[in-house]
Amino acid sequence: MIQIKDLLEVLPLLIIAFSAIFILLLEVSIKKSETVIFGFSLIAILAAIATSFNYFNKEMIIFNQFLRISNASLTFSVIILISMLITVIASKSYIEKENVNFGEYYSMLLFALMGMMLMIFANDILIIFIGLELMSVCFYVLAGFLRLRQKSNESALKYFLLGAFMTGFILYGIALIYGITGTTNLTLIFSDAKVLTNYVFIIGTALLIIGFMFKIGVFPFHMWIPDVYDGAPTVVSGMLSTAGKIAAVGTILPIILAVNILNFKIIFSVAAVATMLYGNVIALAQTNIKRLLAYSSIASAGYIFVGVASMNEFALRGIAYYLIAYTFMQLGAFIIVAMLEKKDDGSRDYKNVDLDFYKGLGKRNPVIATFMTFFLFSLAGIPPFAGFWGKYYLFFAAIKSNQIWLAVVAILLSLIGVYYYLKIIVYMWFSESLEPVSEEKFSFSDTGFAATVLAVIGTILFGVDPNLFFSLFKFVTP
Amino acid sequence: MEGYTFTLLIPLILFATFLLIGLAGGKLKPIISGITGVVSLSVVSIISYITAYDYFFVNGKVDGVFGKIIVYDAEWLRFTDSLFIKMGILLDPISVMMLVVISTVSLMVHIYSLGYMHNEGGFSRYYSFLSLFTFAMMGLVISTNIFQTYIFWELVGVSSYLLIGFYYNRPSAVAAAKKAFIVTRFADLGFLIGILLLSSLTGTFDFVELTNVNGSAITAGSSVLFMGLSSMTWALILVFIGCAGKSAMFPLHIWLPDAMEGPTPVSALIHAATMVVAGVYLVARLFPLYALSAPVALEMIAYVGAFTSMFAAIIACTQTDIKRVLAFSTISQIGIMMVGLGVSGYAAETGLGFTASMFHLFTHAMFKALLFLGAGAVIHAVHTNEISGMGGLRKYLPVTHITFLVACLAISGIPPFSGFFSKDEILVAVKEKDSFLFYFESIVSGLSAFYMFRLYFGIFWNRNTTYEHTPHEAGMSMKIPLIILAILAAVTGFIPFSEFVTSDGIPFISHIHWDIAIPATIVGLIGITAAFIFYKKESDLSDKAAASLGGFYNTVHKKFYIDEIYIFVTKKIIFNMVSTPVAWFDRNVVDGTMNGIASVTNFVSEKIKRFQSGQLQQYAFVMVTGMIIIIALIFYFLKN
Repeated sequence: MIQIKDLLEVLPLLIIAFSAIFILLLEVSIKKSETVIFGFSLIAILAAIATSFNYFNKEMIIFNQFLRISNASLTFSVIILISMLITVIASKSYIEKENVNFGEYYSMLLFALMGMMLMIFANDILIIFIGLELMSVCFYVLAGFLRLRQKSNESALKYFLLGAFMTGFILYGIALIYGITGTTNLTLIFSDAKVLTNYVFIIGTALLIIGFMFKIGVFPFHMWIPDVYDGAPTVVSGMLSTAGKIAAVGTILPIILAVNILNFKIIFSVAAVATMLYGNVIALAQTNIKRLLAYSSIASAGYIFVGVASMNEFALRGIAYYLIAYTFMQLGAFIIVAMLEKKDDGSRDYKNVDLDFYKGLGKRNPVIATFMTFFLFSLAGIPPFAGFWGKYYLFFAAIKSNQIWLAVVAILLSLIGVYYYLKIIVYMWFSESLEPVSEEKFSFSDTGFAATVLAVIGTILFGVDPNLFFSLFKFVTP
Repeated sequence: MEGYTFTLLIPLILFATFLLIGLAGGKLKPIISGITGVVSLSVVSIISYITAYDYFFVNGKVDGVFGKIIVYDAEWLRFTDSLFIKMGILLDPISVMMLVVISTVSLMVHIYSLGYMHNEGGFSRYYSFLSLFTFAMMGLVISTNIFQTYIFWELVGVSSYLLIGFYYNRPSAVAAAKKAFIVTRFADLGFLIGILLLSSLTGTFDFVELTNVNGSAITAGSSVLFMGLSSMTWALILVFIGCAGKSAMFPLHIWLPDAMEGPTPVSALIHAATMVVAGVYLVARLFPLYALSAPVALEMIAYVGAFTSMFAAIIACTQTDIKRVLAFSTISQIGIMMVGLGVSGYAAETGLGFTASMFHLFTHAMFKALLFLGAGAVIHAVHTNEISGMGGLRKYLPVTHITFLVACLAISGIPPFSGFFSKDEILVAVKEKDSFLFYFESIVSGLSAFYMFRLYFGIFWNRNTTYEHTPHEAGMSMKIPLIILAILAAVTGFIPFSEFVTSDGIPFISHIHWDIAIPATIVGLIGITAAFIFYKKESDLSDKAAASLGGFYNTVHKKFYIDEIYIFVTKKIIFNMVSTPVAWFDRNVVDGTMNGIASVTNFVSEKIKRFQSGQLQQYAFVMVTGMIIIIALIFYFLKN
């Protein structure tokens, strides 16, 4: 039975859910409500983060066995909340700049957030599906939020069509699993060892996992990513590539680890290598920074799958660390791109997103260029930034699972990444500016700047003091 | 343990000062930066003195033993789950003693520099580097584990590099800074390998565990033999190579004389009193290990130290640049300290060598800093480093003259000055162990009296040189440190050191052994007399003596051609015969291959780019294909 006290156990989720609904009410009841809504969303997310920390080390299954609160799920949900917090802060000036300053934007973000948290906490395949759809539908809308930009529309449509296509497979997988086990409850499903070797069950699980590989952007299900990230509003692209990916990883990881006995390491390893190869190699040829970051996000999915493929007790730690580092650095980079973008002039395409625009940025705008350099160094995995430890713990997990070849290949492929990240840094600091130096208008009152500062702090803090992460998320090191 | 947490302030204040002067320095008036540095160092000194008082007289001694107190120890960097590095503060007799030495000398140098450096550009930069150096040195001596030592060891190296190269528009200074950095880096390689070996043998970085006499570390690695020596011995020899680099032991001493290109107060701080004794300090820090599990390594240290002390003392007799004389004298004195450690046993009175070595480190810091600062005052007055450009200065520089004389008497081991007591203890310890070394070191001691008084008479007596500008005494800021250090150099010998600093922490009472002290003093007096005859008055005696020695004198004057040998090995052999062919190979073969790979990658990248056409049907097709392949693979694996 669902009890009243169960409600208290999922306070963060409730806060987000009610705030999302409440924002819709605010929107209709107050005129000029955008700033109020912005503030309200911030408070809601902060409250959700704060309350989340009450539940660490209290493993429990609640709500009629629909939800399961564990340290791992809480960790992922806090990382998503942090990503959303930064996104919301950066969004304010971005949507003002793009002339789409509407309250429902924040409501969409919060509904998506609720979907993500729901699927991470889910202990039932149906709840996972509900959360997934809630998240995806909001994502489709957010991708097409710049109604007047054709590119944004195209991005939303592509995302929707391919997403819907994949949803079909996920549902099919769920149906197969239900057909064999007669239940959708994950605890029950995995408690039956005989079921785990059943062919039909395995196909069903494989379809489910493939559906999530699509959301994470693992080869060969990554093809939507460059087109969607390129067309979506830049801040939203940043959010899709961080929060969206984390939610998918956080949901599917426990399932993959639970079917671990099947020992399909090799498939995940090959997928990881192909993803890293594809992302890193094609990123080399990009001339548009949004597409470049999109390919770098595909490469990151590959690194994450190195962790998934190691399937041991170190995998969770590596993935979680990489994800929090990735949140700060990837989101920070996208937000800087968003800040430097040209104001909406009714044109079809985004302006100032060419790599050439970044030539000489160090002279035009040293502060922003410095921050961007931090993010790129971190993405390249250079200490003392957070990205280094993320990769370190991931590759460490691979080595511990006796897949030394995988770690070696991953390190080699990430070296290609160093090349194109450094290329941008070289452009920024050592190339002659193509733009007139005084042209740039940039003010510190831009909320994007505040968001970037937060991301920089995170990138450095988690890079300098790796123990912070373990104490924050109560990680018991294996 | 509680009660000493305030010692955390020592590194924090110094680091904050470094940041403050370093970041805001350009905007501050130079004198403000200087005063900030002096004030912060004064505060640090007071904290150090309080710590020392509290440790030695109030709380430090428990059940008659000066124990090790871990004030603070936090996990700092995690490599794996069982291997991590801590940062903390360890108080024990030697670290507390070093706190006093470093803060005192550094404070004196800070005050002195106010006057000495005031005409130089980059005043703020200078003070920020001084703070950084003092911070690093403090961090080194209070380390709780060998890895922390290593980190600060490198930081000390870097800040020393910055200070030697302070006059960066002078090519010789830049070359000297580079030389110092490279030579010590080279030695540090040995140190690092030593640390890795040591920690893999004992499973810990921690000093308390490493030096616990009843712990497992002492016996670890004794059974694994490599080329006749246990692996623990090898580890400790490698660590000693690092120490030899920092402490300028033969043959890694070549950087120290060149490092005299830095500002003179810097030489006083870094190259006389603090950084160069870091090697001695580290051997003392690991002393139980050396004494109990690697007596061979300890014996090696004794002989390296003895050889270096003789070698450097001989060279010092022939140098004409007064700072270089002092540099070689420093090398020689550090050699003597190493000998003291090398002959020492562990525990109680057999550990006299250890106590004596630390005692000598302490007194040497005072009188050698004084000598350098005095030399600085002389150089300040006559604008040259060459002894031939000086003479008869006692009339012009009375304060410098008297304080310099005190320091010379101290280093020559004339009672009642401090050097007499510490050198006596070392000689006593040496004699018990090895009578050959005893006579050897007695000669070194006589030589040091000779070269110091050669310097003294050459500067302050000898001929009455006529100067273009009449030399005059420097201002108060330079005189006060000279006077304070002179008082310290005169009286610190009366500290009953063995009641505070001993190898195992248990105090004992040592007496002056007059049977050794009297001959040693006589040897010192002979050295002084010889210098008196040669250099008191202007005469050609010394030139005649040099001429009669002929080729030998020249060889010594050229520092036994060690630098030339290094250059021959590096330039002719390594550079021409190895590097040049390798560079050719790199340029023509490796680069060619790499460029080939790069262009292939780019080509492939351009080609695959076309897959990403933006067409949804194609995307969906790829996805479905991928799915089918994965499911086929799953079946394949299930079948097997």
